[in-house]
Amino acid sequence: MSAGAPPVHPFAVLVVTPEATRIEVERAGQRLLAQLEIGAASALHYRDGGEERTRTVDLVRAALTILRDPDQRLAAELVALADPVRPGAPGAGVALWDALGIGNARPVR
Amino acid sequence: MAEPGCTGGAFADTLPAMASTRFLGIDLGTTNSAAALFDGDQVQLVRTSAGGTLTPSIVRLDARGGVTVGARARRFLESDPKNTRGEFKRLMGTEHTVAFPAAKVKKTPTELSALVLASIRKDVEDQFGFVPTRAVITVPALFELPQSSATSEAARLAGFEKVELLQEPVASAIAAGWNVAEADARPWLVYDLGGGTFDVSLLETQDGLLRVVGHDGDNFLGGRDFDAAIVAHVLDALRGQGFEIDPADPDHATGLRRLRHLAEEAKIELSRAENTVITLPEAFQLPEGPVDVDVDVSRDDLVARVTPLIDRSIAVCMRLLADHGVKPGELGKIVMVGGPTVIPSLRERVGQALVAPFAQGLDPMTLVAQGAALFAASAGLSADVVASAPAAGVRLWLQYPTMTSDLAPFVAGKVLDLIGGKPAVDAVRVERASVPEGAGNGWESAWEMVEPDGSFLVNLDLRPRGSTQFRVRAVRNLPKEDKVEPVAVTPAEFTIVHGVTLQDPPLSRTVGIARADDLVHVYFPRGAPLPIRRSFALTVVETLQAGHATQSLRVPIVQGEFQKAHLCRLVGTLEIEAVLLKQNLPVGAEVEVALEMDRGGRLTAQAKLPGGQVFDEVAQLVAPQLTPEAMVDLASAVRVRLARAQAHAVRLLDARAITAGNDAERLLNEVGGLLRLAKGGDDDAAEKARRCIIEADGEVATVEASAAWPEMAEELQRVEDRTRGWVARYGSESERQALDDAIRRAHAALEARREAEVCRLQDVMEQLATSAWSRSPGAWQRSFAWLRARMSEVRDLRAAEAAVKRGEEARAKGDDAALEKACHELANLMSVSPADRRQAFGSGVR
Repeated sequence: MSAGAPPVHPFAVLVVTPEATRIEVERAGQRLLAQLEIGAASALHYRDGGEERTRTVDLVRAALTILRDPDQRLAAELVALADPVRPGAPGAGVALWDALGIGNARPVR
Repeated sequence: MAEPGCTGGAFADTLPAMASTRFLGIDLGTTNSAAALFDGDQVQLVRTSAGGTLTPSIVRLDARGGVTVGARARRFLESDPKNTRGEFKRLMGTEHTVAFPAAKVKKTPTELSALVLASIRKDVEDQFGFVPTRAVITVPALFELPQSSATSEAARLAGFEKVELLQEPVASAIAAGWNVAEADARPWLVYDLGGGTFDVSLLETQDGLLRVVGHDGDNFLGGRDFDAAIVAHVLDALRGQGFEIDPADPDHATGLRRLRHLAEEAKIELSRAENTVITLPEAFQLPEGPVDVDVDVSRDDLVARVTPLIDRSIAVCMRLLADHGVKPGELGKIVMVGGPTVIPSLRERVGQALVAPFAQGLDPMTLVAQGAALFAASAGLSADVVASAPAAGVRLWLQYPTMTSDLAPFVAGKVLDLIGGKPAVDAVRVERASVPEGAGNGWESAWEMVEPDGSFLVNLDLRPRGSTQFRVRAVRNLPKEDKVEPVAVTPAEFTIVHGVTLQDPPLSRTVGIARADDLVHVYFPRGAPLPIRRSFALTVVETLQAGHATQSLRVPIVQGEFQKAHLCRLVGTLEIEAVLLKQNLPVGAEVEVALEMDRGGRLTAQAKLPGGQVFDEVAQLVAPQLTPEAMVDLASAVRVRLARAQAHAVRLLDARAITAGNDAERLLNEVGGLLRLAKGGDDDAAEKARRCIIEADGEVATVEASAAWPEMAEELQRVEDRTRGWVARYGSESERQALDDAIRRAHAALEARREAEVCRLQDVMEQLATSAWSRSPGAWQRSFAWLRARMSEVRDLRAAEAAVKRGEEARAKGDDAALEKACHELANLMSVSPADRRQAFGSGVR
């Protein structure tokens, strides 16, 4: 996934609900990985927030990683809430803030 | 996308040419190596030519150039120690070479490991009748990239075509959890004390899925240190007899090596007996004559010497538990791995400290190899490729997990043959094939229609805790039931094993790029699954003139958990040489840098320049070598910083910092002794000293950070104040919620003194605020004005003036997007501190 890519919304990628069990998540992920390996047309796209997006092996694996980890699964809700306002590398926030001189402007209260 | 005929990840490919169900796992150990083969039902240990299950990791080269490996080589350790060498695993990934004077050659640790692997390969051939070309090889969890890379290279030299690397504790966990009905949801521990390293992992098993919750370890703690403790006991006894043996004296190196070998035997003996004797005639030569060793060693002597080592391992375990909120007594079991774990006093002490039972019925010496073989099955990495006779029938390409914890997995398939442009079959069904045809076997799937692109998906039903063989049926004309025509397909059968499986093996250390401002740009965080690929655009901090003979741009690749690059280990460098450039690379230009790591732990790097030119040469992944003298200077510098930082920590009564300071002191105290051994020709001691200094440096950074906690708390409050304002005024509802959450978590991290997490969450806060700020009226105009006022700091005035011109045009037109772009361009042209850049391994990007 390159810089500027939207964050992973794992529930959308795997087409499971937030109530899905671990086995259901695994099954959905493994099914999609198998379908993507053989290039099944039905697996190539998914819907997220009303938009059609391309599904890749990397995306499915990333979604599985998020939903397998209890902390990240909870945080998946947070990711889904936050807009991808400025997707970037770790440290981008600090670097941008200083580099663009935002810190020198008075904060609006 | 994988092409037909290639094995893809965790799935088996079933084309007629590939049908092997044998999976090989190898534990390449510091002291002993082992191998196991899994055939889908049973794990069998690979026997050596001597009939045992362990291959000592020892190589002998004689004067005729003859190579002896394993138990036969071990016999020469005492009689011909100069030409018989072991314990080279700890030197993997370094530039050290091992001399064999009789053969007049030097071998790298990689080449020696290759000889051990080749020997194991031969043992597999002798026992099972085939030559394995693929295997899973285990490595310590905290192996660095150069060490992992060296292991893969050793496998290649030994004749393997493809290997995957797996962390040893993960392998042990798979073997330990493989055939146990897991009703216990409590986390459990793998305590792996090998010859050279100590790894501890916290795991959980739920729904048959094994998850590694966390890793920790000590790269400098292993059975070898227990042997060294016994050697110290012997040298103390000799001193008491009036004989002073100097470990730094090269003339004593051979005697010390022989003594270590006997110490290892004594250690093993004392697991069974209360007393033993170490005897070695004419072990050393002193000016006054030869010195014989004849020293009693009791179990109590051993316990006294190794208790501090055991306690070190327990401290690592406690740290791991604390990091994950688990208390002693909350563990379901402890799985002990490695020869030293049979020492009774060790088991007693560890069991008491962790308050958990030991798993029974597991062989600590071969568990890792068994788990590696099971993992090979779940990864679909069969040990060989068997060419079967071409079968008649419509060709299918099937994808299914060779091993899974899911009792209802899927098989995905594609019909490869077409008739009239359409798939040659209309529908497929799968049934269990374990009984004779027609006898009825209790399960068959529904007919699944084949899609226009030839793909199909069938839900399966496995037998628990074993292998299930399936048969594929296909038909044409299914909708027209009177014209349904059965069609032969190939492959017609496949097998899936039900058992505990592991999610993708996690990366044990964070990998990133060192930026010119000495920060790490994280690519692969610790715990990320493999394989993994990430790409980010980085900006160049210095212009490169195309064709210039000596200029180059360095993109250093580092591994470690620190935000500061210089505290991490440099594991490779992608170098862009100006002499190879097709066009100039100006300061501020964006370079797309991609890093990729496969499941074998192999790292590749690529830089794509504006204009499309690609560089992908990564400088050799080798840990840097330092002379003992250079290390003395480094250690002194670290001590000076430690003394200063400890004073702050004590004043602030910061317990965590005080502990880190004590750890740093312990490491630095070890360095002195290690450097003396290094001067005596002990390469292992030299490597250990280097790592001790780096670890001590990291601990001192922790102590120094503690002095900064009050400032960090103030900084967090400042960040909170300014970000709340922007987000409250211009942020969306979701941004406001996200900011509230990030602030709450940042304060919790501050309270718990988790520096990295505080920094990360501050960064999230500032990203949210930047986004909100960018929507405020006049935002980019303000930023542009501020940057323009700093034109004296730019590195390329011409480029900056061009950016200013574009910015002014954009401002005049009211084009915010173009103005934003100009602001970013100007920001990227600002200077970086030369000192920061030097510390960051000379990085030329940010």
